[in-house]
Amino acid sequence: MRTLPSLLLRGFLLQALYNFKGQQRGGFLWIVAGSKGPAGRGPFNTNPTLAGYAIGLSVSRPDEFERVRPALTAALGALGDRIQLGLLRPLSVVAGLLGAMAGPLAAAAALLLVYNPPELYLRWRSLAGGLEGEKRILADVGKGWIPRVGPPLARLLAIAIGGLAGLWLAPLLAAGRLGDALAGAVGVLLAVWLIGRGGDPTKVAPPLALAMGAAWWLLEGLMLRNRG
Amino acid sequence: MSFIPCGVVLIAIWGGLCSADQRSLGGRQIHQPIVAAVGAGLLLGAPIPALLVGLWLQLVWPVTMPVGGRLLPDTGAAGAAGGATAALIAGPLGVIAGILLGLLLGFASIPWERRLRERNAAMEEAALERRGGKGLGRAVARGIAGPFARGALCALFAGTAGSLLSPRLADPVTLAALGPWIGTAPGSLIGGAACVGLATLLHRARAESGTGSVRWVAGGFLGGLLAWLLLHRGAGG
Repeated sequence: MRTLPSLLLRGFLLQALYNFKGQQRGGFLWIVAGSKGPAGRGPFNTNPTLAGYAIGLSVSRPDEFERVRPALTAALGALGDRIQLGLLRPLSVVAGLLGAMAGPLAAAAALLLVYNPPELYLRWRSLAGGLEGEKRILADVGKGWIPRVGPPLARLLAIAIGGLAGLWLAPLLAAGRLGDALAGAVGVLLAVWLIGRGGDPTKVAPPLALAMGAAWWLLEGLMLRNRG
Repeated sequence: MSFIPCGVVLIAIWGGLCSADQRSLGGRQIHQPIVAAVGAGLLLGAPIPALLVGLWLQLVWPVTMPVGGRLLPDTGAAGAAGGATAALIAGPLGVIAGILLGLLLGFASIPWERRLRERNAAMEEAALERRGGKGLGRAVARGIAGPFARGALCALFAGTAGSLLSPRLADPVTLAALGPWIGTAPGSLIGGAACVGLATLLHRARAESGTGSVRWVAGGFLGGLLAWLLLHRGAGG
């Protein structure tokens, strides 16, 4: 039977064979290969960070795992995606953007340091929980500590985003740079419009941003030429 | 810095790692454009223009979410390639070329990802058909190699194109040297993208914490303004 460190390391490759048919099945079967009982060969898809609960249970109690497999993977997927993709990752991106004000190394380091330690802890904790069995999983995932992580993380993310906007705009306001202030105002209006629309704003983000940048570039070039 | 053979190998390995990290190699976030671009810039000795490209691409793709099996742009390969281009081509032209190349590679990687997934499905099926799934280990290794090769090729292309298009940098680009043009072309591109990136992040924050998040964002905004004032008063005094 595989040990916790071995499963933790193998767990990083859960999505190595990701495809639309079996989803994470290939990676999952490779991780649990050599354990007590053969895991079922149906599709497998869950959040990679909290997948440890499923992997651990499959290794320690294969029959119990097969009984709860669909419900467990769906619950872990919903909860894990919210914490990892919806909160922890945006928070690390904001940390990277804040760090960029101090230079390239600070930007990269801030992003990696905000994301990796808590994510690695979640991986280890979920795997250890999974190896302990169904009761521990229910205690953690049902009304335990994992759902309680969400609200404080969401508040922290909101504060960090506000702080980032403040730190970016402060020097422009202090220097009285009218052109940049106008660009900022357009940006805020655009942001409000996009938030109001909801959905997935990134579909229009690249062309809009590029068009705004290009228009601004042309405008500044013309102004500089007129001054010259 | 010139694109020397040692740099060729390093930048290809970095691009490959960034691309593989996004899905098949553990997701340590080195595929985020800021990290991927800064890494490429550090390898080529010019991290600041690479950071500008990374920032812009990060704001275009602030947090890519694989919801409903959605195919995502390969932000790692795009960031590494864009960062390498900006590090090799001097001045604002390098940053703009890096941004455009990063965007192009990011969007071009989507159909490539579809093909990789089809290949993964075929490899998985073949491995499972063997007795006891004996070929799974090899299939997993090949599953990692696919995105790695994609990232390495993108970074190599950027490095080669950058080194052919640009002579050696006359002077190292520093933050102070960027001053005169940071408010013009690339600066405005970043500004435009910044607004859209922030909108996406704000939208995410509101979705996660309900209507109360506006208060927290406003509090953070005031905190940010105050922090800047305190930092600059401290620096001035």
